[in-house]
Amino acid sequence: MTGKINIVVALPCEAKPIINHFNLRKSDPTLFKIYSNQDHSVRLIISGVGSSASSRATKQLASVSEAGVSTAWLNIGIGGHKEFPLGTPILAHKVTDSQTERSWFPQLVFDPKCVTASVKTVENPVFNYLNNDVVEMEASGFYSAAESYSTREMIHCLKIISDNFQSPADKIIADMVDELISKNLSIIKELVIKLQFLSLEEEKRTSDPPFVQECLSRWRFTVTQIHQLKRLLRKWSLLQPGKDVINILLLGCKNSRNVIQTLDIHLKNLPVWMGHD
Amino acid sequence: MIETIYIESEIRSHPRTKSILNRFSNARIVECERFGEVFNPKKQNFRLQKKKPALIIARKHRNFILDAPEGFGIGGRKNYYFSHMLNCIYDCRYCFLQGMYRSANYVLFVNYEDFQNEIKKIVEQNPDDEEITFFSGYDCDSLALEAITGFVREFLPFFQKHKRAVLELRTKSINVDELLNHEVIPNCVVAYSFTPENISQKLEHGVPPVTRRIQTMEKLAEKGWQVGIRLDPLIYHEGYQKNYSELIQNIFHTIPVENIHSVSTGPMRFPEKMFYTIEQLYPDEHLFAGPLENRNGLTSYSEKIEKEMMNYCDTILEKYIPKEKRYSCIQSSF
Repeated sequence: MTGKINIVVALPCEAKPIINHFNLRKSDPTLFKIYSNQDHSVRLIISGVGSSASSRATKQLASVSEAGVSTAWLNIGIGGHKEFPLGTPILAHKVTDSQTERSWFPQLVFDPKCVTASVKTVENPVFNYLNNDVVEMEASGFYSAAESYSTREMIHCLKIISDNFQSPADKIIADMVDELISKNLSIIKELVIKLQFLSLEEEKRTSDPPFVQECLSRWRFTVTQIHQLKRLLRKWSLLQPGKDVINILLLGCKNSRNVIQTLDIHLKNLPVWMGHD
Repeated sequence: MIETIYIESEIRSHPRTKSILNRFSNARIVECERFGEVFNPKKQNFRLQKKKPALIIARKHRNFILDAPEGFGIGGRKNYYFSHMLNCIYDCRYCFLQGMYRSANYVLFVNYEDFQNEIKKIVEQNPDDEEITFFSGYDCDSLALEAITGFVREFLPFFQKHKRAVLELRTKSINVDELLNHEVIPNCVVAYSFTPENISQKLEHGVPPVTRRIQTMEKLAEKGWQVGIRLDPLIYHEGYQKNYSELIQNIFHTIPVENIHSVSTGPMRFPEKMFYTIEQLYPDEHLFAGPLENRNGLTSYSEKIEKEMMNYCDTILEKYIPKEKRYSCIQSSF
């Protein structure tokens, strides 16, 4: 089992090396081009340039992938900085929208194998790099949208430096971008693995306990009862690991209320041993 | 240990900020306007952030000293708490901090003088004969990050001058050099929190073993510091009577009673919503599979179990320490 990651890039030349590396195929036909690997653990969308486009694409990809709280998100693209050499990979530790001045702070709960910096999202290409930010055009739109689906530890922006004072933005061409991304595939791969790992942890944490589906197929539960059922079945799996709750306890239950009562009473009377997992 | 430090721009040049930055010269430094930008957003995962908590250096602007919750006290007529720091380096599974804050990052408020001024005002506003207790370990461990915070180093001299103000340092840390090297002050209680050893190993991640904490209390007591024992929260489990009995026995066979300021016991309670948050973070935690129920907006053991545990511990404690030094801290609000 692998965690899920959704990747948002602006341009086809940024996407191409990533698509090739992860063996992604076109899938889910929408206005945006979406690519996926065989088990859908890696999906990529090409958003077009700009924060609004990135935001829309992120929402589209979330919908298509049925993104849950355990899905990781990664925006990859090029950016400019006054000093960083071309090809330097930068992970954002702060994303700021230049229009609204709103900021987001991705939380680094793993060891990033590259430098981190503040990223500023601008409306138009910049040729004078005024402060120490990496300037680009998508991160804020991506981040604000992705945050609707997941948490800050699982949403990140990686920018590859494509322009600086010595080599400004008007010199960028598609082949150059392809090359910059290609040269950083090992960093991208490592980041994807780390985010997928977090995603898998979260998937396990948020997944239903055993026997939920079996119970739902045998008895009809209200929404509130489903919450209660899941809570009780989680308790059962902790206190009676590996035991079949339906055959042992619930076979005689007439309805959902009976199931919940039976489980509740039985579990209340079970000792809780704190000595073992 | 700390790889990322967020700093409010306003206090970038504060002497305590600079001192901390010197200590962590390889840390990633990220500026923010207010600590809330980093700490408060809802879309954060406490459990994931516990893997690598960052430090947020900030200035506190208001609510320096707060009334202690009802039922919380160790003898003083008036009880307050203050938090120079939010969040704790330890990871105790019963801790309310998991459900209180979305972020597990540590927030350190460096404007200690503002806390001290407020404490001074409260002391001056109260009659001369009143002892007022100020609890410092509510939102963090009072001692665990002393090397970074210098909290004890900065606050002991203050409390030394304000003798009617009693400082409780609540901790599980064995990092007590600052206390061992400081002149003993009578109005400071170093209070150690305990659960039995088997529970501690299961639930108190990163915490020094029970035996080490008892040894540390012994050192402090030998030096002359008043120590406190906090059996809070009491954890219900099979064999709890034997385990708590052993724990209490070990403590009292090591620490002279005359050095013990107080012993308090308290039940495990969370506001319902807080408990739900914590349970979602740790769905496989045996602790939460115990006989808990919702009562008056709180999730706790049943009244019967609470009373049984508190009474049992009191029965054991009364063999060692007089009633006037025993307290029940039963919080009905948070």
